[in-house]
Amino acid sequence: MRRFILILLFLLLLSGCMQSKNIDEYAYVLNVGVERGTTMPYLVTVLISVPGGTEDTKVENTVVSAEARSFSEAYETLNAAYPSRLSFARASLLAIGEDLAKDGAQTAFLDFAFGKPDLWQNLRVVAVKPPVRDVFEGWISDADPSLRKIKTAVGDLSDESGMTADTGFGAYTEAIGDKRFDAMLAYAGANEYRLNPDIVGGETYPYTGGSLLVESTLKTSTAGSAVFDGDRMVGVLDGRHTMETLMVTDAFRKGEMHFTLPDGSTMRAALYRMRAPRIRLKNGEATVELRLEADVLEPKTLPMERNALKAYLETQLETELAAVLKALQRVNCDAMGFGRFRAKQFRSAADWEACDWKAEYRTLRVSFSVTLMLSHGMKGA
Amino acid sequence: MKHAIRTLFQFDQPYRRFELLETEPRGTPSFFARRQTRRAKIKAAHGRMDQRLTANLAWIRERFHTDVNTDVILRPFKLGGTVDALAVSMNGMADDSKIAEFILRPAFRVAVDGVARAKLPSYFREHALSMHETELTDRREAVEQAITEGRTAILLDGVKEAILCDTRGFVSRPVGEPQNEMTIMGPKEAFTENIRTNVTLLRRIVKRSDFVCEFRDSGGTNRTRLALCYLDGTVNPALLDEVRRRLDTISTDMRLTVGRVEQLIEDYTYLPLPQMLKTERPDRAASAVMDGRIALLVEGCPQAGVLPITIGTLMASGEDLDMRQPVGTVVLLIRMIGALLSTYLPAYFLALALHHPGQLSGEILETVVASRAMVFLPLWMEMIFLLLVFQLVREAGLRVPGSIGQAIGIIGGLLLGQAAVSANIVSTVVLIIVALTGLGNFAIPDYSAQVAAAYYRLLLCIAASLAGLLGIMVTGLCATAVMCSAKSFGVPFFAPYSPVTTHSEHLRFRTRIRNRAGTSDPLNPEGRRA
Amino acid sequence: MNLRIGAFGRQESAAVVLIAAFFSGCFGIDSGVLYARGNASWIVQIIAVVQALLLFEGTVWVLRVRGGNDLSALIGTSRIKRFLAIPLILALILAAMQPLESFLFTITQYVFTDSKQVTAMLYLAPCLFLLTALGAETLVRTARILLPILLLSVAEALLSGIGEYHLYRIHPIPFGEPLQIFTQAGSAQIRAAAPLIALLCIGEGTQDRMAMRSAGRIGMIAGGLLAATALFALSMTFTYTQLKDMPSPFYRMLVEVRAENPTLRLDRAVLFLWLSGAILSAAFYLYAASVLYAKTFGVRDVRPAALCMSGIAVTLILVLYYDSEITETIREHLYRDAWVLIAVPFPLILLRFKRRKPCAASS
Repeated sequence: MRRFILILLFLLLLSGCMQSKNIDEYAYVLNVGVERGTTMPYLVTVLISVPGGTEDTKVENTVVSAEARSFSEAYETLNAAYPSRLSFARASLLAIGEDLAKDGAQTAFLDFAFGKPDLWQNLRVVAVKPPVRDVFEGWISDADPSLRKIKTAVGDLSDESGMTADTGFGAYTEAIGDKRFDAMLAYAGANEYRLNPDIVGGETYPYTGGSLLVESTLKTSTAGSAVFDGDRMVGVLDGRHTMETLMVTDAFRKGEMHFTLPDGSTMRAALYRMRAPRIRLKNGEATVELRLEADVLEPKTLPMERNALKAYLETQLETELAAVLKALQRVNCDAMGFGRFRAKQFRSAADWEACDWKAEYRTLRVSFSVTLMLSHGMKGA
Repeated sequence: MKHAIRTLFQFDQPYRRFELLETEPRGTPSFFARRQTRRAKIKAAHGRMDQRLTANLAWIRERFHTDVNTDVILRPFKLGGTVDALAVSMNGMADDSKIAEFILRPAFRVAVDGVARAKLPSYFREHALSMHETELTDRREAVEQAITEGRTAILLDGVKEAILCDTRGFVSRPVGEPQNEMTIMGPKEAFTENIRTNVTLLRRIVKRSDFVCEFRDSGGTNRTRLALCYLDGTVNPALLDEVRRRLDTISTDMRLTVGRVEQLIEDYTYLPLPQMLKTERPDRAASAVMDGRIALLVEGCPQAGVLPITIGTLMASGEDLDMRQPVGTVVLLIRMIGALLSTYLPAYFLALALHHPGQLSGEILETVVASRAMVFLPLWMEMIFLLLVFQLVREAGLRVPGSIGQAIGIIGGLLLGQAAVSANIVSTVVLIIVALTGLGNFAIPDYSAQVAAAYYRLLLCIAASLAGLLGIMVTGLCATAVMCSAKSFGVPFFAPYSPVTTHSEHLRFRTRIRNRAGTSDPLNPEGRRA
Repeated sequence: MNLRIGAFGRQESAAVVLIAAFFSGCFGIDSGVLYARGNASWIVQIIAVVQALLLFEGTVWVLRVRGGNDLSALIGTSRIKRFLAIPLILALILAAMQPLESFLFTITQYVFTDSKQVTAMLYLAPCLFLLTALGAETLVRTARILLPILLLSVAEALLSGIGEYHLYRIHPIPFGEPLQIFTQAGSAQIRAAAPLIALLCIGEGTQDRMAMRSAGRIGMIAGGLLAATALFALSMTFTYTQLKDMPSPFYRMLVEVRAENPTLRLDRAVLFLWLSGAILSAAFYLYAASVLYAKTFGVRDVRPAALCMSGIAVTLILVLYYDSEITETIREHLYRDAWVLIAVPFPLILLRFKRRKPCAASS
């Protein structure tokens, strides 16, 4: 018995150990970006952080790009070019170039990641306006050399302002593989990306709540969202419309909105989620009941009689929600996730799979009902 | 062919291992077979004393090699002026003044006229000998052993029986303070090399009539005196018989100590964990005895062996029960965490750094990498090197006298560590981890268990550098299983947690002292807590 | 006899059954088969547990009527009837293989991506061999020691994922196809009934039949329901379309729910902690199979059989990993149809055949 175990141990030693590398022999990829290449199908850009890089800063950041036909090819090329071995263990952000996403060409590229949870476990997916390199470089600043915070920053921005979507790789793959809802990704770009038209149209809303004046040459900002039909990007929603869509998907927590009042003046209010939206779907008709708390921040006194203001704001939100849904229906994107409720009506997977939900969605009639609890300067700005 | 297959599948060795919990209801096995055969051998070798003094003298000269061994004092005298007699004692072991004052002086004065030769020894004992502890025997073995112990044998001509008088008076160390098991609240007494003193120390704490100190001598040529101390009627009789049986199997020419006796009678030779608790504190041994355990004292060894033990015994310190329950619970918890840290932390760090860097957060990763910037040793080598250095400093500190030992600790810890970091041999993070490990190691109260933890630590480190967390898991699981299968004198190591015993002690970390009436449950003694 | 059964109490036996039931229930699944037609995994698990418990209670009842402490007492050592033990032994080996296979895949696919299965197996196999050869007493005691840690890690993993759970993902629940649910529950018998069959094999070591019965009940209900809860949590984390193509869904769930943790991530530590549970349950099945073999075939030492069974399991796992269409088909069939190994011999074991009167001497 003992001899047997000894022989096994000996075999174990003969077999060699699991491959390992010292922790300082790696360079850690923080962000991965993919866009259309010029000579090859993909241009892969990675933001690499080398811990312990220089004497005075602990971390050194570099942006490296390679053109390739597939991810593995790009990985090999980058590895060959870079002195340390690249590790994706700490990758936190995947940026998909808008040019690629419009054709859905990123799916073939991303196939590599589906089988590698150590890669996608941390990834947050954003859509960017190319070039990706500019976006990544815009993120590197001297103020905070620790770029790993970008990921949480995107999440925090979404949580705190509602102006951008916060989508992990898991949710993104779920949206692509399943027809219950369509993906909505945070939208980022360097400088002039704001020129992209919002698909809802009508009034021109800024992507961000205010109007950001960009002065430096490279400065990346994230706001608004890119919406998808399956794996194809079909348009962009600005910050306000993103906020309204998130209200229906129950991803909205709080945010600020400007309203134009009947007398032409503007009002700033902070909105808070009060409870999960109630969505009912029956015979091609849906009702959405939202309950929000609105705290008027500006002007200092209520501009109208409380009930009249409440009714006005509710109506305005309902109208805007209907307009956003209409725009989304037009581009065949179920970003609000009505499919989740349609799936509940089936008692077998085969029936659900046979159902052409997207066709139903295009003609879906939805009535929104918003209830606001109005307060004035209670929670502060 | 059929036969070959049958033999392949049918080799069987009976699995007969002493199991206290399991075998107890089925009755006790017979134990004394070997002891009797050994006695028979001794009888053949020694036999009985002779009636003639000259024959006995010749036997003593031969046994003790008196031609070269000048330690043996042969003092011929005439009992009552008429009967030829001989007092035999060992120089240095026996007290000269006691022999002169209480044996020789009354021997010269006693009148033995008219006393029959056969009744002379008992007459002398009853009428003249002013010694407290005396014994009559005609067994040569007993006489021989008595002389080696420092007693005096009085041999009379024409009488078979010898009188053994307790004249032991050799120098010994006074009762001192414990050196290794420090406590803040407990008593400050420690065992000495004198087995008699040790028994007395125990008796002073266990003031019960059923407290038995069973003196026995070990097997082999150098028959060291052992004492089994237990509460008769409380201790599990099956356990007692088993311990006696195992002690009887000892046949060695080595000098015996508690540690050696443990290895001679234990079950699992290759288990790093001790199977007997060695303590230098009489209060600890006494509490164990009162809990239904057995304390084993060995002549010349300033420690007592307590058996059987469980993992809880090894993790307990003498003053645990002196502390209040909530505080005691926290202290015990910290000790457990310390033990776990000391065993697993270096291996876990190695596994993460070598195989799973993604598991470390960015901040830790950066700190670790920055600290390793100029270190030339691979990480696993660095860790194992530092662990060995730590053991080295510790061993060096142990073996040199007190104040220098502390100095070595400081030199090793501060100077060497600092120098190694600035010479880029080791990185600060690894140094911190090894220091934490060392601190955790000292939280384990028992020295043998500390050494066992160091053994497992090294094993886990090697496994972790080979296969990361997989290696740690495999090694840890095997070690846990082996410990679960191990028993200390029939008591499973993890009792009362696994197997769970009837008392609900395992549900609480440290029970209220009010609930600890009675004896320890896993040993199945009388009057146990249930 | 050196069967290494030893003696153990109710808590230890319940602990080993609980661990085995949980790990087989959660990790003995084949996602491709289980989620092919919608997600009813947790309902299937509950039904399978009820079925297994009925089988167990029936066997204990028959044991009480006929007298005897373990399964081998029912099978007996008659020359023909003892062959009824073979399908059960195979079922136990299969049950041991399933969670190990799943973990081996996870390790080589996601943790040590550059290593081969054989290398990883070389680390797992000695541990499995040692545990199997150490015997029942050691196994149940180790299970009792590990149980609190494992339960804590499972509870932590399930609770920390609450933010990621969404009820819409469990739809459509295939209530419209009850037959399919029951078929799946039948197929799940290998992983559901194995802990109880193994307990029946080592029944001699439990204090008595009643202790064995209550240990089996407690362990199975707790472990089975915990597995059902975990499967339900899994269904709320991923839709069935995702799960269908997900080879080791629980690791992905672990990773998914931990993505936000900014400090030390523990998903790998938890994975390997769970692996120790899987090895323990595999060793429990393999040891039980060896004891059943040793008792019914009159072998007096269990260790060679234990080593053989472990060897067979290890080899089969490695062989089935060989990537080809045949092994793929075999694997799928093993997950789907191996319940026959339990369903066929059990009625024959439980039924008492009247002994034919000895014929008069023909001469």
